[in-house]
Amino acid sequence: MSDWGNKPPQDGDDDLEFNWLSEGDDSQPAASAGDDLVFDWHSDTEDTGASATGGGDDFAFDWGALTDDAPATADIEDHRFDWHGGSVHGDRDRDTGIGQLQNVDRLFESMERKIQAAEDADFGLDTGELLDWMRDVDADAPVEPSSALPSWLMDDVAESAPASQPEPQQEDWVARLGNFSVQEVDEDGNGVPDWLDRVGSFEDPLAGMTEADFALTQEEKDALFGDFLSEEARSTSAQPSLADEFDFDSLAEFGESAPAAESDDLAQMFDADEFDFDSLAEFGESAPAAKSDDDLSDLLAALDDAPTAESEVDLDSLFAELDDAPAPAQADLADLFDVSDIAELVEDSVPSDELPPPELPDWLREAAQAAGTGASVSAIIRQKKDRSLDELDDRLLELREIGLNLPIDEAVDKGALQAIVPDIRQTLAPATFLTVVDAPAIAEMRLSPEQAQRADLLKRIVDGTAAAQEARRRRTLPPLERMLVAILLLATLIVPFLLRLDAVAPDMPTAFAADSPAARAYDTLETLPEGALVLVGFAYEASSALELEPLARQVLTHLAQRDARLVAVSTSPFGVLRAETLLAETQPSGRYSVAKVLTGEALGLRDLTLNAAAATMTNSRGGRAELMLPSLDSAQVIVLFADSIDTVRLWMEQVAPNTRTPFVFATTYGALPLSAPYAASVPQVRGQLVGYTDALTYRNVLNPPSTPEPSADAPTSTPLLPTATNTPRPTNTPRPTATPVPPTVVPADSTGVTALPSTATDTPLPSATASRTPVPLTATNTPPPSVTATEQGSPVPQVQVAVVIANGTVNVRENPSSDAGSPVIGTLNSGQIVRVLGTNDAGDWVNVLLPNNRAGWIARFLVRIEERPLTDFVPSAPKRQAASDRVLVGTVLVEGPVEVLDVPQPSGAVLATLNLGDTVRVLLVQGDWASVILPDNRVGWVETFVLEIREVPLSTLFALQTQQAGAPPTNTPVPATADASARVLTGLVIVEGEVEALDVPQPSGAVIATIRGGDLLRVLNVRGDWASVILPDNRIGWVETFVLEVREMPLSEFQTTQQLTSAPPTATHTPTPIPPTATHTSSLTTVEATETIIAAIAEAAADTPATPPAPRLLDARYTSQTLGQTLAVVLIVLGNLFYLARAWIRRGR
Amino acid sequence: MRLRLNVVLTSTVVTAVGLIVLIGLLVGEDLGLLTQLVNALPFRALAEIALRLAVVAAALTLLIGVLNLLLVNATRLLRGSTLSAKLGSLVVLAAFLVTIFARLADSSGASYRLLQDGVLLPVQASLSGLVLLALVWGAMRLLARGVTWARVLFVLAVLVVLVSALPFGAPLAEAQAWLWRVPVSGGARGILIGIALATLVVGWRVLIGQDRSYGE
Repeated sequence: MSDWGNKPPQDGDDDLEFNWLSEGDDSQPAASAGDDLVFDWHSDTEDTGASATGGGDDFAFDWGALTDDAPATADIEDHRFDWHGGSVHGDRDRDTGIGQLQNVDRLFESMERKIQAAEDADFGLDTGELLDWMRDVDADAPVEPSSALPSWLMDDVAESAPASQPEPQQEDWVARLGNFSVQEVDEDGNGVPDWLDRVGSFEDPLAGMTEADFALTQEEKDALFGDFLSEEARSTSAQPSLADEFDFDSLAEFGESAPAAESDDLAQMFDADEFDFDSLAEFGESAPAAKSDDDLSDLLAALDDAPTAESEVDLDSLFAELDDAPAPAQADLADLFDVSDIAELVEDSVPSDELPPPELPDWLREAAQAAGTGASVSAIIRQKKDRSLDELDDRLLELREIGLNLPIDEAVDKGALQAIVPDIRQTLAPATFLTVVDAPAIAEMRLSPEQAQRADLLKRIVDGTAAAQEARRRRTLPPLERMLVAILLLATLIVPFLLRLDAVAPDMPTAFAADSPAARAYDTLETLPEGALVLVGFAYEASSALELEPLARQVLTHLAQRDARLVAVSTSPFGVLRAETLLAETQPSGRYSVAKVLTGEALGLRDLTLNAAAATMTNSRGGRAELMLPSLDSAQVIVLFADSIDTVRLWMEQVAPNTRTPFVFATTYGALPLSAPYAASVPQVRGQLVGYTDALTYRNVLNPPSTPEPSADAPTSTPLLPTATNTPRPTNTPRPTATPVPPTVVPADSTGVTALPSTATDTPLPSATASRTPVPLTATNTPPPSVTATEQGSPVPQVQVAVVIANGTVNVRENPSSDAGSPVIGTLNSGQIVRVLGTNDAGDWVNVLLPNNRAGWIARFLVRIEERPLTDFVPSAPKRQAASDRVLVGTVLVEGPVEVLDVPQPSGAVLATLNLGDTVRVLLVQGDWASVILPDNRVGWVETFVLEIREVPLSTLFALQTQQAGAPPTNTPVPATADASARVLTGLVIVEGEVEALDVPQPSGAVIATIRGGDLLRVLNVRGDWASVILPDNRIGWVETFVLEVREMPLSEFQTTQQLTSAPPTATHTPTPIPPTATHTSSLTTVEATETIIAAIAEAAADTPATPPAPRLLDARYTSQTLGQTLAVVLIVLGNLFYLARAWIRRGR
Repeated sequence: MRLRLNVVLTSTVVTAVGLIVLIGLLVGEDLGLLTQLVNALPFRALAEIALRLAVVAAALTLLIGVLNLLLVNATRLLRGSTLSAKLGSLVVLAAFLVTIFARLADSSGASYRLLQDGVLLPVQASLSGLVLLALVWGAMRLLARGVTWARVLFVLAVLVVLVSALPFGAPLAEAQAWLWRVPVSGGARGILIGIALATLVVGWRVLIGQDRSYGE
C-alpha cells in the first residue's frame, strides 16, 4: 500500500514528481510514466524536501511549495498536509531545498498567510482548480525526473535515479493499466491522455469549490501563476477560497514561538525560523470568514496520522467533512496570497491565450525547457478541464465505487494516502490474472480482450498453469515417425551381424582403385626405404577413434612391414595415449617413440616446425625419447591421422610450408570433404585414406581375405599381425635378406639420434610381422645368379646400383632429358636405391629400374653409383588384384629353355628358365623385353619374341598355371622316351620324425606337407639354406637343407628308391593349403584358391585351433556400414520428397 | 558517453599484444628496413613470450575448468535437491577418481588402456551413433517447415556428399568421382576460403578493438 504520509524516500527512488499513485512513495522510481499522468503534482511537494516526518504537505502548502520550489515545503513538516501522498521525505536534504528559498522568501510569506487562513476554513477545493494551479507550477517539468525537476532536485535524481527505468512494480497500477499513458491514448493530441481528460474533479472533497474561492486579481494571477490557472478553471464552479479553508492566522503562532501547533506534525512542518508566520496572519485578516479551526483541525488531524499499509480511512466521511464545510465566501486569491513574487518563480509552459508567460527563475525555466516534449502530469492536469462525474473513466469510477465501499479503519493514519483513499493499495492493485479473490472488496480487474489474450500468452510462457503441466505430462512419447526411422536405422545396422546379407551387400574391396588417393597413399608407404624415419601425427578424439583406428592399425602395420622407424606426435593428451597403445600393438620391433604432447595446438605444431628435435626429444613419459626427429626434412613421410578439417588445415598451414616431406592423410569421413582439396591440389600430399572402407581395403591388400586371421578388429588384440602359428601372407613379394649388408645397423650420433641407414634398399626385408622372432638374416630366397643345381656355389654377382642423394624426391623421366618430350614416369625418395641399367652417351643421365619394374632415366648428379650384391635387388611382384581383373600373360612359343634374366639386357643374370608352353604373367612390355612373374614370385625379364602375349582374366591365368603345374613333375614315372640314365638331384631326409615342407623358403612359410625321415625327394634347386623339392603329391615345397642329404643319382635309381621309401604325405595341418602354383604366385587370388582354402580349413579343423570368424565379422561390419549409409540416403530422399509434394499440394489448393 | 576504464585498458592491451605478435611472427628476414626495425626492437622475443603465456593461460583455464567441474559436482552431491542430481554428480566424481587412480596405480598402463578401450571409446562411439539418428531425422525433415530455395539447395548438397561416398563400385564410380571432384571439392574450397577470410576479419576486428569479448 502506498505510503503517502510516512514512507521515507529512498535514494534513487526519486519519482519526485509523479509517484503518488504508485503508492506515493519514492521507492518507485520514475519509470512509471503512468504515475506522472495525473497525480504527480502533489508529489512535487514531497520531493521538494517535504516534511521530515513524511507527513506530507497539505495540498495547500503543496501548491505553495510548488510555487516556491518546494524548499519551503521542506519546512512544512506536518505530514497531514501530505495527503496526496508519499511525500515523506524526512531524509530529504531540506537544506538543499532551503538553500533555494532565498528567491522565494517573499512568496512564502504570502503563502503562510494563505495557509493560515485556509486552515481555519473548510475548503472544498475544486480539484481542477487546484490541479490547474498545481500543475501550472511544474508545467513543463517532464516526466523523466532527470529533466523534469529543478536543478537541485535534478541533481538528486541524476545521482540516484537508475540508469534505466525499471519496470513498474506489481503495485503500480497505473503502469499496469494497459495503454494508460499519454502517448497511447491521446486522441485529441493535446498531450493529455484521453482518460485523463475525462477525469473530472473529485467532487466529493472538492465539490463546490471554484476559482472564486481563491479569488485573485487578474493581475495577481498573471503575476503569480501565469499559466497556472486556465481560463476554464477560473470559470468553473465556485470553490472555496484558500483563505476560507486555511486559518493562516493560526500559523502565525508558529512564528512567534516554538512550534506549538495543535498537532506535532504541523509543528514539524513549519520551522519557525524559516517562516514568517506573522505574514500568514495577513491571510486571515483579509480572508473571508474561515471555518472553524476545529473543522480544519480535524481534517488536518486526520491527515496527520501516519499512514499504514493496511490503514483504512473512510474517504467518504473525510470528504464529507469537506463537503460539509460551509461554502467559503468568495475570496480573492489576491487577498490570500501575495503573489507578487510567485510570478518570478513559476512558468507556465502551456500556452494560454489569456495569460502571458510568467517570469520564471532560471532554474525553473531550464527545467521547463529540458522537459522537451515529455508531457508532465502537471501540464496534463493543467490542461484538464473540469469534468463531471459522469465523464470519469469507467475504471476510475469503479475505483471510486470501491473506495467508497471500503470499510473505515479508525486507526489509519489519516494523513496517508491510505487514509484518504482506503485500501488504496488493493484498490489500485494491477489487474490480476488469477481468479483469486483476495478480499471481498478485491475483485478481478476486467481485462480487455487484447489484455486477456496477452495474459493467456504470459501464462503459457510462464508455464504456471495446470494445463501446461498436463500437456507436458502427456508428451511422454516421441513422435511415431521418429521412432520408426530410428528402428529402421538400428535394424539396418544390426541385422548384418545376425544374418548374412551377401545378396545385398557389395563385395568387400580387395584393392584400391587405380590412381585413387588411397592407392597413391599405399604406394607412397610401399616405396619407403628400409628403416625410413616416419613422422606420425595422432590428431583425433575419442569420438572418432573407433572409425579411425582400424585404418590407423593397417597403416602402422604396413609401416612396420617396411621396417620404418616411427616418431609419434600429438597436440592432445588423448592422441599421445592412443599412439602409445597402437604403436605397442603394431610395432613389435619397438622401433618407435612417442613424443610429449605438443601444447597449444597451432603453437605446438609451430614449435615442431621450428625445432623438431626439441619437440621430439622428450617422450610421453618425460624421459629421453628413443627416437628423435632432427628436422622435418629428415622424415621420409609424414602420416597424419585426423578426424577434423581443422586439424588437417592446421598441419597444412603450420607444418607443410616448412618442409618438403610428403604427407599421407588418414582421416574420417567427417574430415574428408574439406581435406580432399588438399589431397587433390597440393603436390606435397601424396594420398589420402578415408574411414572404414579404406581400412578394409588396406587390410585386404596386406592380408588377403583367403587367409583367415584371428579376430580382426578387436581393439585390444593385434588382429592384423599374423603370428607364427597362422598362415602369414605378409606380402606378395619374396623378401630376400641383405645378407652381406646388415639391414638396420645405424650409428647413433652424440645426440642419440639414429641416422638414416646407409644401406636402405628398395626391396623389403623378410616380413618381420611374419613372426614375432626376427627372421634369420642368413636365410635368403634369392638364388645365386644361376639357379641350376650345377651352378650352385657360384659367387654372388655384384651389380651397380644408384643411391639417390638428393633431398626430397627426384623425378624419373621416360627419356634422358628434362624437356617436355620426356615426361615424368615416377619418383624416387632420398636415399632410395635402384638398379642401374645403364647411362646415356653423355653420361649425364642414368637408366634405372624403378620398383614397379619400369625403366626410367634420372639425372646423374642426383645419384651415387655403387655396387651391391644382386640378391638385394630382386624386384617385387605388383599388388594383389581381383580374380576378375584382366592381366597380360605370355606363353612361351619356342623350344628349349628360355632364360629369364634379372634385367632387360642380354647381359643380365639368369634367374630362371621357361619351357615351351609355359605361361607366365607379364607385368609390362618395354621395348623388346617383357617383365614376367616367375612361379617363385620373382620378377624377371624375357625377350618378347619368345612369348605370345595376350590378355586374359586373372582366374584364367591361374587355371593355366594350375594346369601347367599339375603336369607330372619329373619325379613321376617318365615316359619311355625319357632318358632314365639322366642324373637328377635328390634329397634324402636324414632327420627323424616329421619335417615340414613350406610353401616359401622362409621359416614363416606355410606348411604344405610333412615328410618323414628317410623320404627321398627330388630336389629342384638349392637356395642357400633352403631346397626346393618335389613332394610325393607332386607339389613343390621348400625344405631346409640341413634336414636333407643332397646328392645326385640317376633318375631310374631315384624312381626305384622313391617307390620303396617314400610314403604318402600326411594330411596337412596347415590352415591354408596352397594350390601347386599358388604357392609361388601368392599374389593371385582366385575363386578356386579360395574354395580350396576353405575346404582345407574344414578338413583341418579338428587338428587346428578354431580361429575366430574374422571374415564373417569383417563382412558384417562392412555390410552394416554400407547398408546404413544407403538407408540414410534413401530416407533423406524420400522424406524430403514427401514434404516437397505436400508443399506443392498445399500451394495448389 | 562515458568510457569505462576497464574496457579501454583491456582493449589497449589486446591490440598492443596482437600487433607485437603479428609483427614479430610475420616480418621476415628480407624486408629491408622493416626487418631492421623488428630486429632492433624485441618484437620476436615479445611475440614468443606472448605465445608462451597464451599456452600457459590456456592450460590454466583448462585446469580451472576441471576444478570447477569437480567443485560443482561435489557441491551438487552434497546439497543436491534431487536424487538424480546427486547420482549424476556421484558418477562424474567417481569416474574422475577411478581414471586418475587407475593411471597412478598401474604404471604399465594396462588398466588405463582397459578404461580407454572398454569405456571411453565405446561410450564416445555410442554418442556418435546417436548423432547419426538425429542427423538422419533432421535431414529427412529439412523441407518440413517449408520449401525454399535455400533448403532445397541444402538437401541437394547433403545428398551429393552422401551419394558420392556410397561404396557401390563401377556403375556409379564415374558419377561419384565427378561429384566428388567438382561440386564437393568446389564447395569445400569455398568453405576453406571463407574460413580464411573470416579469420582475417575477426583478427582485424580484435586488433582494432571492435570485438571486445574479453573485457565485458
